[in-house]
Amino acid sequence: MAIPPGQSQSKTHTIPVVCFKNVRKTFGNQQVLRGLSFELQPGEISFIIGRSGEGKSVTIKHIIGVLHPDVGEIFINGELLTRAPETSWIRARKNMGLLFQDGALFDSMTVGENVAFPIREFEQLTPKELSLRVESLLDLVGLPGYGLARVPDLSIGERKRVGLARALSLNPSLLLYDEPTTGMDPLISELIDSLILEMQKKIPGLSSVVISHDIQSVLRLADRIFFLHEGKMYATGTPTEFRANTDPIIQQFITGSLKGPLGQPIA
Amino acid sequence: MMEVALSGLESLGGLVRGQIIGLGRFTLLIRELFFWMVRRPFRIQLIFKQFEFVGNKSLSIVTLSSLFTGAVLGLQIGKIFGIFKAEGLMGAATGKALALELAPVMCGFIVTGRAGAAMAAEIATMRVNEQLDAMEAMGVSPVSYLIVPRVIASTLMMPLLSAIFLSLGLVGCYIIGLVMFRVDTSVFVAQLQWLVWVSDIQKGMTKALVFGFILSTIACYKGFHARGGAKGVGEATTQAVVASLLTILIVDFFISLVQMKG
Repeated sequence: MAIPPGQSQSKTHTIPVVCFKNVRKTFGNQQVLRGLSFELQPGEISFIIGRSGEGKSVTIKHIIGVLHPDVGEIFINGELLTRAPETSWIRARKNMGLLFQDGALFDSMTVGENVAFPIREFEQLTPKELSLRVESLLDLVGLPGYGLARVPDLSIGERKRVGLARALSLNPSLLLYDEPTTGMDPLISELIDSLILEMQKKIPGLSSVVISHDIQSVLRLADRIFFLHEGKMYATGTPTEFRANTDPIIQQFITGSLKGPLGQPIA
Repeated sequence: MMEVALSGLESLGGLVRGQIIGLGRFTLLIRELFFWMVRRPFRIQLIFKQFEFVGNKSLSIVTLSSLFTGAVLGLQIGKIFGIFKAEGLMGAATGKALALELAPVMCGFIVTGRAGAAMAAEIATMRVNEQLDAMEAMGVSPVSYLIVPRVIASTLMMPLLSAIFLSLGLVGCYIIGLVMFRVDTSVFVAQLQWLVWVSDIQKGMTKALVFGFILSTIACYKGFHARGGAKGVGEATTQAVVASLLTILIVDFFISLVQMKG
């Protein structure tokens, strides 16, 4: 039996950092989100999981306001932003950081310029203050002295870390990771996982939302798991609750079995 | 038979629908462009960087092509006018053609091929690599950061490049007149002053201004809506160049029509 969305959150009374209410989104003839509802609690590492094409990345793009729902409501830190003007979204985005799958670094800039980019846009710092801030962010992600490095010269793991430094540059209260370990070897995946945990420990009050297919990472790191299926929130719960869950869909997803209600992936 | 007709109609419908959607997207981009043009932050540094890219870096190719365009025009016109013993008018005729049509249109082509293609490719690459999404996620409008400086720089640089094209084109024509047709300098200048008016130059500059806006907005639009990896970048760049060149020619006709009536 799946855990209904929100059931294990009913005891909390804090304002959710992200709240989706019956969000629907269609692209052409394809309905991706079909009444998605969930709440993400502050200070937690929340994992959004599900099969490919279930709308996980679409969900994260709705959280940062790059996509807007056709129907439904989105609240960020208690503020309804669904039909809010772009200025409200820009204000909300300053409290968010997003780490893209491959870092999405600006390859025309150096590593330092990439990290400094959001700071230059929103804060008035002297060149010395800016340089110190950039250096401390690069220190935080384990890349001291990389400020002048060129983006094309970085390894994929380094790119992710620079992306993380840039995502953290405006001291966000919500950090989003879009499939951070996809396509990574086990060592880099482990490194990224440890970075997620480290950031959570180092930055008080930080809420993290991770989209991932890596079930081992999910079960190891998550405070709460959100399972997306057929455009809806199928189940939510802690890793322990998920492991104990007997629902065949969840069990098939966790075990990665080819036999079960989810069917086989299309080659 | 009926099926073929229906299929054809369906294809036509799809094509029209695609064009209407494209036009709608382009209009929205233009609206956002004007919105960010008059709002902070004004990115002066980025605009100057684009002045350098669109203007300074196009200078060598404009210089070379204008000299040869003027020379070849002088050659052809001089030969024809020579039949009527009117070689002295070759500078005036070339000047008129350059000022009204050739300088702005040729500059439009050159800047499209050099800067417009680069703009489309750069923005398209940023789109397919999620760099534009990253910018938006950081609360920075890609239109404000990338498109506004490029459009302002192209629009303002095109009249300048066109003026340089006109001047050097006349130099090319003068050299041909002097060397091949033995045209007297005073006659060349006098005829030029007689036939080419300040209003002709103004009309040409107006065209160049419009072409600068057109080529940069089309290039940025194509790049902005690119999809599908390296292939998408290539397609966006090709489409940007083709659409810009065609639009410049079509708009040139209508501006000429208005200018003639005005």
